[in-house]
Amino acid sequence: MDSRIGQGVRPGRDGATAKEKALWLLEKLVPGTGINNITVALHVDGRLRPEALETSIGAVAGRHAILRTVFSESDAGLVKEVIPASAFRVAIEPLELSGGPLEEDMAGFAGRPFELDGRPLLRAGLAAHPDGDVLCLAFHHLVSDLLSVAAFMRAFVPVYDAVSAGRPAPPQPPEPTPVARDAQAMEADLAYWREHLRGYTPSGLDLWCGLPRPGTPLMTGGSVTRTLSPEGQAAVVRLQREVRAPVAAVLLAAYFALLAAHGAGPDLVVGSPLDVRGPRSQAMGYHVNVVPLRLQADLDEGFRQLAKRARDTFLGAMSHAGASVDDLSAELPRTGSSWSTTLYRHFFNFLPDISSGDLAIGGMGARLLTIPNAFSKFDLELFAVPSKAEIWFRYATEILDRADVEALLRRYEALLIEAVRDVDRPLRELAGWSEADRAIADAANRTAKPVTPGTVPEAFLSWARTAPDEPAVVDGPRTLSYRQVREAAAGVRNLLQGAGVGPGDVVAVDVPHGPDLVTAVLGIWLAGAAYLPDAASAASAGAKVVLVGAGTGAAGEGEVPLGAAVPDPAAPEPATAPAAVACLLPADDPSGSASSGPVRLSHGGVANLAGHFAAELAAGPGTGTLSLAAPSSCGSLLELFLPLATGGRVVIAPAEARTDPAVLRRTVEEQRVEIVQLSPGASARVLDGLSGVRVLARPEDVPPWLARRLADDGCQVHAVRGDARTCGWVLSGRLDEQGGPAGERPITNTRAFVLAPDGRELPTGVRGELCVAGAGVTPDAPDRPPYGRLHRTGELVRRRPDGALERLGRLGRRVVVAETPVDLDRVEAALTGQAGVTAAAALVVADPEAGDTLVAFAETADEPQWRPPAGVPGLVVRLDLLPRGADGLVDHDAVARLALERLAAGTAASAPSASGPPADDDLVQRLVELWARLLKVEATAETGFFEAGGHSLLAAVLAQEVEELTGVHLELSEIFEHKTPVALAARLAAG
Amino acid sequence: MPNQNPWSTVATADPGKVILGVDFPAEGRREADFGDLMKKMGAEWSGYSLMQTIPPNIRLDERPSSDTYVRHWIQDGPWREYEVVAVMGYCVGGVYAAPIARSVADAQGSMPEVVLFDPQFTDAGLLASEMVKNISMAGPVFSDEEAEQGRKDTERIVAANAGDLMDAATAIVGLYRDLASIAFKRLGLNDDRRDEIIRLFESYMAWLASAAEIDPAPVWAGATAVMSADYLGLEAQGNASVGAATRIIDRRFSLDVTHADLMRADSTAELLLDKSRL
Repeated sequence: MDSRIGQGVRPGRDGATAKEKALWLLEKLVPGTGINNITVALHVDGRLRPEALETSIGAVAGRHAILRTVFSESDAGLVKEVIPASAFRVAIEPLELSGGPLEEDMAGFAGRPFELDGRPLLRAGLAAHPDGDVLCLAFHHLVSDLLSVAAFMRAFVPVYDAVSAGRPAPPQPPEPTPVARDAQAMEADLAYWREHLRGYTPSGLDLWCGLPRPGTPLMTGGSVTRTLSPEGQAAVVRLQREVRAPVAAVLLAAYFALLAAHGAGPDLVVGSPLDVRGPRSQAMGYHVNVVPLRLQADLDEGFRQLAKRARDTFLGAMSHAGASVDDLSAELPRTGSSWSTTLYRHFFNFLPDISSGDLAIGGMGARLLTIPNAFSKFDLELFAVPSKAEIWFRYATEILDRADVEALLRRYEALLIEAVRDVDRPLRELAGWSEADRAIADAANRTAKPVTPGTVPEAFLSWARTAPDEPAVVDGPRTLSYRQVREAAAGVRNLLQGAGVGPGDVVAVDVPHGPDLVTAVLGIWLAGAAYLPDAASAASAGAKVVLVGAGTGAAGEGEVPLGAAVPDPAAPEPATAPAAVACLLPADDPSGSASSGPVRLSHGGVANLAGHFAAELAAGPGTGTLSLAAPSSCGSLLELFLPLATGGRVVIAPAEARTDPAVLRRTVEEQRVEIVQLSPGASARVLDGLSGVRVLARPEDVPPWLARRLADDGCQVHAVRGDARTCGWVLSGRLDEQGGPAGERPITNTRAFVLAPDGRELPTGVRGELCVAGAGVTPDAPDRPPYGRLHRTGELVRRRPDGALERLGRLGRRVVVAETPVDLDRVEAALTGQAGVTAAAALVVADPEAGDTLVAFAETADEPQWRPPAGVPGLVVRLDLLPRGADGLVDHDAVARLALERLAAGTAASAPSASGPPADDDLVQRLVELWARLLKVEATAETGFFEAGGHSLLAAVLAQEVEELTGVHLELSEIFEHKTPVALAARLAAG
Repeated sequence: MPNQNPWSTVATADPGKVILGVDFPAEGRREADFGDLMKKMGAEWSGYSLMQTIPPNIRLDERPSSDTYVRHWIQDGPWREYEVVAVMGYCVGGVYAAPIARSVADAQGSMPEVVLFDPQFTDAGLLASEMVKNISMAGPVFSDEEAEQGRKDTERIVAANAGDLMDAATAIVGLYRDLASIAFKRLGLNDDRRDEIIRLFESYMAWLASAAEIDPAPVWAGATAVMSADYLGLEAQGNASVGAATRIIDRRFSLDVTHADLMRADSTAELLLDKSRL
């Protein structure tokens, strides 16, 4: 089936153009794929004649030299030549059909790569289907584009009609001679694009949905199509009129807005092919130039503004389409080495007219089939076919899920429909959401439910009335009934009131974990005050008095000894209102800086917590809940007050139970405990061996093997999330028995949102910060309309299609650099863990040359011997002092600026070689890169191979790579002797 | 090793006093070696040269004895020109240090100081752990199952060859050859490099196994041992190869450093300055 290059004279060979080379480079990136193939298939109502097909293809190719152009690789790179018509032949391949969908059968033929070895770049296949033959034609992009394929069909069909009927082929207009590119116009076009792209750094190209970018792209692709609804179509038409822009600009603007709403940009470039055939619209060949369309997608603007700028960009592009992005790429900043990452990852194809699906050939009817392309060059490629009101997305399956892309399409249409209602309304209010998204989010947050009684003390008192002799608090052998607890609490209240404590006051509590603590807290509440379980901050929190436990000696100034309280059997007065402050708990700032003083929590919040988990955990009278957490931790809220609000038992755990699983298990068995909670950050191993209990823990604290074991032993594990500012837990879910990510949902009277850095709410599948509003949120949280008092948790989450939330990690501090997840906090800890390092700052910087780069600064006076610890990734820079602000805190903006400077200067933390003259710098640099690549650490000319983690196997790899690099064969022993790049370079230089 | 010189010069000084270092340096490893130690000692030892043993190119099927090694180093030893002031050994190198020190004493009439860094004897367990270490070094090249199988095979070999270390070493090298072939194919490394690596490992195993014939006790009785916290821990846990060695040394010091850092630690340098006769 191969064409034979005949004995005739071969025309001259030419070098390939920049565009052609770009296609070739892409093929090398993903070899063995048909990523540059363009395919068309025709399903005919009858039979086609293979010889006539072959002759017709030959005739058309004879008239269009581009179809006879072949490429091959030579020492000079990619070269092309034109095969004479007499020597050119494309055989018709018979194709097998499997009986399944035709499109899938054709996909193999369509995806088979063309070898760039001088053979033809088109092929034809014929399949005999019961309903009629299927002709499939595949072209390589080097000699074709979408319009060229249409032109080919327009030329081919009449020829086939004639040949198959035995008539001579109809005459065709002479092939237009290619117009030489005007060098001056080209230069003007290049200048335009340089200006257009000035200052652009391609760092905001990743969307907040989908998967991490893999190291080696496979570029497998999928596609999703949507026909715009009548409302959508009408919107597009009206938008054109309202914003006075052509339909292409409207659709482009909507695309930019959609991408920006999902995290790209705001300074964003989208690639787009422009047909540069001009009046020679019949010409075949690769006559589109891809241009980089750049737009600032500012979500504070309205659609009208964005569409105007899209129109201007489009028009500017069309007037300067003589230069393609491939002509520019030599001069533009490269991000990494991948073909498509230079400027853009998203593509926009506007297909003004595509032939209708029906035509006739050889007197028979035929339909054009769309062959699914198994590849995608870009993360997301939009095809707009206005004549069919169709939008389709082709997407990289390694980056985006099909569900993400379907959602993107829905949101695209929704954006058009919403925008036309008010073209000046800020896009942030309408971009990125569809009705389906809204329904999911709203349903997930429909958690309102009355909480009765409204406060825990009220609930407690009602149990004390109805079941006074039931056990309330169990501490080893000692058990206190509800009556006893109530009477003791009343005594504490009297004591406090005698000391001047009244409603609204704060009472600090310095009482050890145990029954006394319970009665102390209840007594404080009966007095209408709030408790502060942290005596150290009593003064700063404005505590009226400090309640100190028995046995601590004489009470000091402002201290009230708990031991002086006398139980009071009289029924106490009703308790306080839900809005009153119940307690003040120490809280850390979610952004990770030091704790910022205790936060106030309301009775309503505590009651809501208890009420929700009473239902979720089926906790009721008699249910034993283990009290393990220290009173200053938010975990204590559930452990103490869930039972007291539901008639259950608070089972005080001995201190050893926090760390010794055997002690924990014994306590659970002896006291018939049914509910056990793991404090955040505590080791989950303490839960090992429990059976038949309900467990609450953060899912990230429970390793999968433990989750499986607990499930096997009859435990129900509830995944929970929250912190001190939310009265403890605000999200809960059941932990998957395989230990998979739990779907977490807000508890009653709580709403959970996924927010972008600028505060926009994000829909299903898009990553953002978990923010919570509702009953449990501290009244100290800022009021953020329209959410109310909103607590930003610092957790990175996304919403699943079922509405539940999935936690992905800590925000901001967990980043992905070179496809590796890096925890910035851990990098800093690794640096400050080194002796002599007083402070560290780690951050990710968007470097135009290298993409996202990790840069860490270590503050240490130890120079010049200082080396970063092995295993710290990225560039590590030593500083005598980190830049600090007037408040003494690290100035992160200054650090970021410094990082950019250092990257630009290419400085690394290294001391100049002290021994001998420097070896050839270029070789040293190549070796340093080799070190870094093999060892996966930042390397310098002085990095010892083995000290930095190398071993003999890696040394063998190094030796082989060095040999390939320099041609010098070194024995392994020489690698061992010359352990640093500079030493090895010197040895290599010696030959 | 293609380089058949028995000694390599790590540091030179003119006055002619030399320290001999006995180690298997060609393993290519992150543990600090005698070169690091000399750097650390810096000016204090600037009057001494350091020469380090290079193991001879011996194949296991030659069934080398310890004599083979010792003779290789002794016969071309530098003591005709220099005075050997100390013989130092690292791990199993310390075992070879004993006959070398004895020969030196016979040749020059004065016994050099003998210092042993983390001394240990070779036993089957040590051979096995070296093999297992190499399996781990290959990291993701092997699947978990393959790595586990490799470890099991190593244990099986050791159990089957409990009597004869040379046999055990030979069998382990055979296993290494099999695994290295797989690993190298997967890494795309050519056969020359693979063979090189296998020869290296074989040489190391032979060196370890031959040491078992030597009884260093008479020389070690007067030696000084410097131990890392890791090896102290091994001794406490009852590790046979370490315990048997340290038991026979009276003068011993332990430092709070890792085994890998022992020869580059500040505290080692201070100890040597303090406690050695150099």
